Amino acid sequence: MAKLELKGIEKRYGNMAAVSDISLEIASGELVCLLGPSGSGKSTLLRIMGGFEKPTAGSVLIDGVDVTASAPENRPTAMVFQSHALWTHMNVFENIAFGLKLRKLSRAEIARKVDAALDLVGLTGYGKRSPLRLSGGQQQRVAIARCIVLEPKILLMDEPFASLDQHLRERLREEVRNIQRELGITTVFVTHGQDEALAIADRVVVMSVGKINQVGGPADIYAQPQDKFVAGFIGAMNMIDGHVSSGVMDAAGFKVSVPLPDGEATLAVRPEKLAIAAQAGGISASAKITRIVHFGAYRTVEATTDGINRVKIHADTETVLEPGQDIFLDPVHFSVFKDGHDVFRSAAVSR
Amino acid sequence: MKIRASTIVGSIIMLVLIAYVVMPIATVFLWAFAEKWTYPALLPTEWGLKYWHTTLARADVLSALRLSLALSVTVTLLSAVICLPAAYAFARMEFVGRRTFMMSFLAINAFPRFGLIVMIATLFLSLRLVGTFWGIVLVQLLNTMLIMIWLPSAAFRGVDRRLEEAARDVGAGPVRTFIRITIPQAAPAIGAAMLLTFVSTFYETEGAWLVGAPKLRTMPMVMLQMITGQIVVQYGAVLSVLLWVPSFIALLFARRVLASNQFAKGFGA
Repeated sequence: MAKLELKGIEKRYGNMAAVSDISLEIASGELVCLLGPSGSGKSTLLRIMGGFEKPTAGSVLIDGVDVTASAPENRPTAMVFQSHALWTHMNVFENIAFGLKLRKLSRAEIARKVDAALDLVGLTGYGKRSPLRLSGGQQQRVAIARCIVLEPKILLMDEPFASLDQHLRERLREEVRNIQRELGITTVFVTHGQDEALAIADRVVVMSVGKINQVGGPADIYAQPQDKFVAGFIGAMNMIDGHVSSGVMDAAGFKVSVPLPDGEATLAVRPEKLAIAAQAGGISASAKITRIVHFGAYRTVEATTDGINRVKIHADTETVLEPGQDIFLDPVHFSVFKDGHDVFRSAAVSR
Repeated sequence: MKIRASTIVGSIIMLVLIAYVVMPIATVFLWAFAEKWTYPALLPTEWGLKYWHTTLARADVLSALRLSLALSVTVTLLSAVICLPAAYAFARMEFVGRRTFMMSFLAINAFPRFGLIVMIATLFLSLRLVGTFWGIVLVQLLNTMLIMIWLPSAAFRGVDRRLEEAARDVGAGPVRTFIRITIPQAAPAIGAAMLLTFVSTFYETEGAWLVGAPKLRTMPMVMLQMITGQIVVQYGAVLSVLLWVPSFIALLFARRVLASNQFAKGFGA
C-alpha cells in the first residue's frame, strides 16, 4: 500500500519532449490506467516511475520519499513488461525466485513464497517448466508472479497483454484486477486499448503527445470528455463540424442553440445518443440511411445528413430500417467543442 | 535418361576437389597408423599404434603439450575477462568513435602479423619478457581480441534489453545482471568464441616462436620440427592427427553459432 506522486515530470530527447508537464497523484491501492495512442509518452512515463528513464525535470515520490535518482533495483516498484521478459535460461521457479534470492531469504521461505505466487496466478505445479514451453498467457502470468512475489509497493504494467488474443486478454485483465484488489497493491497499467482501460481502471489518465489530456473515472471520461482528442479517442463519436451564428449552431442540419460567440464549432454525439425518429422535431436533422451493419445485440446504422456528413447511430434490432430510407436524427445528449475544448454540454445528462 | 554434359563436368570438378582436399589428410592419417609402408604398396603394409606410444612417451612432446595447454587456458580465460566487458560496451553503449574503434580491430588483423610480432618481440626483449610464459601469453592475447570482442558483442546485442531491465527491476545491480542474465543469454556465442580462441591459441606459431623459442616450445613447434627435421615420418603424422581433433570439435561447435548469422550481425554493427 503506497502512494505514488509525480511532480512536473518532463523527459526530453534532444529537442523532442517525450513527456512534459506531468503531475499526477495515485492513491494507495488504486489501479490507474495510462491510456493513449502510440507515441503519447505513456510508456516513457511508466519507465520513469520504474527508474528505467531519468526525467529531465520533475520528481517521483513513493510514500513521500523522493526516488527520482534511484536505480530500478533500489525502488519499491516492480514492472511487468509487454514482452514478458522472462529469463529463458532459468525455469519458472528460478525466474520467480531470482529476486527473493537477492534478498537473502532462506531456501524454505523462497520455496513457500514462489509456490504461493504460482498459486495466485493459477500456475500451481509449473515451477520446473522452461518459460519457452509455456503459452503466451502463461508466460505473462509468470511475469506477474515474478513481480508480486517481491511484494512491491507499486506494480507497473507496460501493455502486458498486447501480444495476446482478445479472449485471453479479457480473462487475464480480470485476473489482474482480482489479484490487484486482493493484495491492495497500487498499480499503474499502460495500454492503448480504451476498452481495457475502461474495464479495469479506477481512474484513467488519457494522454496524447506527451501530455495529460484528462484524468477521471471510466464513466466520467466516457460521458464527459474534456477535449476533442479524448472525445474521439475513447469510444465512438460522431464529430460534425458546424458554424455558430447569433446563438444557434448549424452542424449538417442539426440546429442547436448554444451560448457561444459566432464562429466555427464541432458537435459531438455518441452513436448510442442519437435517436432515430420518423418525424422532425426539436433539434433533429433529416438523414438518409446508407448502410446497416448487424452486431447481434444491436445494429450500426450509417446515414448521411445534408448529403455529405456521415454519422453512425446505434439502433435496436426491431425497428424496420432499410438503406435508402429517409429518417430524422435526434441527439439525446451531445457536446460542443470549440478550438478543441469542451465548451458546451447538453443539459440532458449534465450533473 | 540422358546424362547432361554439365553434370559430367561438375562431377569431374568435384572429384578433383575431393582428391585435392582429402588426399593429403588421408595420407597423414594413414601414416599415423602405419608401421611399415614401402613404395609400391598402395596402403601401409603393417598397421599399428607403435608410433603413438613412442610419440606420446617423448619428453619434449609431453612438456610441449603441458605448456600449450597451460598457455591456451590462460590466454582464453584472460581474454574472456578482458574482452567480454569490452564486447558488452560495444554492444550496448553509445560512445564517440565506437565504430572506428571496432574497425581498428579489423585493421590490426589485416596488418601483416609477422611484422607486428617482430616489433613486439623487440619490445619484449627490453622488457625481459622474451622466453617467458607471460611474454607468450601477452603476444597471443593480441590475436584473440578480434574474435573475443566481435562475436560476443554481436551476441550481446541480440539479448533483449528488457531481460536486463527485468533483472534490475527485481533488485540486481548492473554487474550481477551482466553475470547472471546477459552472459547466460549470450552463452552459445561466448562458448564458440572461447573455443575458437582456445584452438587458435593452441595452434598459434609465430608469436610463440618469436617470443618463446628456444626456451619454451609449444606443440605446433614440436610438430613442425618433427615434420621437417626427422626421417621418421610417423612422429609428425601422429602429432598432426592428435592436434586435428580439438580444432575439428571446435569447428563443429562454432559452425552452429556462426550459421545463426550472429557473426554476420557482428560485422554489420
